[in-house]
Amino acid sequence: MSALSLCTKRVILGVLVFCSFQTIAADNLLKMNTDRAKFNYQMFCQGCHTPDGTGGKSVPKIKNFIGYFLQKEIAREYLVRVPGSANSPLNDEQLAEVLNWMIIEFGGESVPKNMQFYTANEVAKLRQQPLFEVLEYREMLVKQLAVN
Amino acid sequence: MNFIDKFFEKKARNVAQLSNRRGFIKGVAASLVGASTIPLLPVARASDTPVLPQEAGDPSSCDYWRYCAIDGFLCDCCGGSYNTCPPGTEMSPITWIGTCRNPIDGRNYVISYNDCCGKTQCGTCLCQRDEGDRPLYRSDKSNDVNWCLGATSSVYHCSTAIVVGIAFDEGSSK
Repeated sequence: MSALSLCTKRVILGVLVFCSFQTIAADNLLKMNTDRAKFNYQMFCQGCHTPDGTGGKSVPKIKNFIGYFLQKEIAREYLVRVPGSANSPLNDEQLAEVLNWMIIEFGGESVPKNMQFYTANEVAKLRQQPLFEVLEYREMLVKQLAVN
Repeated sequence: MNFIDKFFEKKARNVAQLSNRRGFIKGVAASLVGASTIPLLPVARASDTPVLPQEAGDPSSCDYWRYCAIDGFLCDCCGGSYNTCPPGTEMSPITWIGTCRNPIDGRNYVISYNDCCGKTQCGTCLCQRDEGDRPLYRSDKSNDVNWCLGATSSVYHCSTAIVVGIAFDEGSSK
């Protein structure tokens, strides 16, 4: 095998592997308008949760953390029932979209492998039961989750 | 032991015949070439480009386009600038966010009005334009909140106006 053909094969293999990851990402982003999702995050979440989801003084961290809430149904529901989500002016489709965008953008290692994205129908149902007490409820949930 | 010696000798000779000393380096180099082509692939990266709006106007004047939703003292008059805090103050990471139209390119930009905190009120260049301001019951969209609540000190000094993105336009995205 010549050096050139070996190089060519490796280059093609590298490109194919990269492209397959792109396809998976594209499937995950199905029905998601990332520009709109990012804009809605900026307008309705970023003011407190900060541009990279780190949060701050008394503002919970999203970055590398949001995915832990997808481990259990009750915690998954919490992300929709918190006042910032449930009471937001976003419609159900946009709220589901921005939650999914945050999971992809900020979730990192915290996102479970077998997670399901939110749908507009699921969000519509859950936001009918907004939480009034959030901090203690969140603390109780985090104790139940496997948080690294 | 003899068997093991022969086995490894045979394997070592096979490897020596089928490969050369520079093979590993060649493999690494080929992988690097492959990896270097990834940024050239036609993947959308428009959203990664920094937002740099064309500028016009005086940042120390209340009429400046970025201040369309501001309510406070302009940091540009207080020893800072439209996007930096004056010395001795701390920028609150918790902020309120609105959109303003840039008169140069006609586009709407997302503006973060981070307050600078830790010193008493600046007292110059008070600017209150309040576009998009909502009552306190919509606290995330009210600029009457003391946004220094996110900083170490909650004492308000002045406000910045930092462009953090381009507003999404449902009409132009289709």
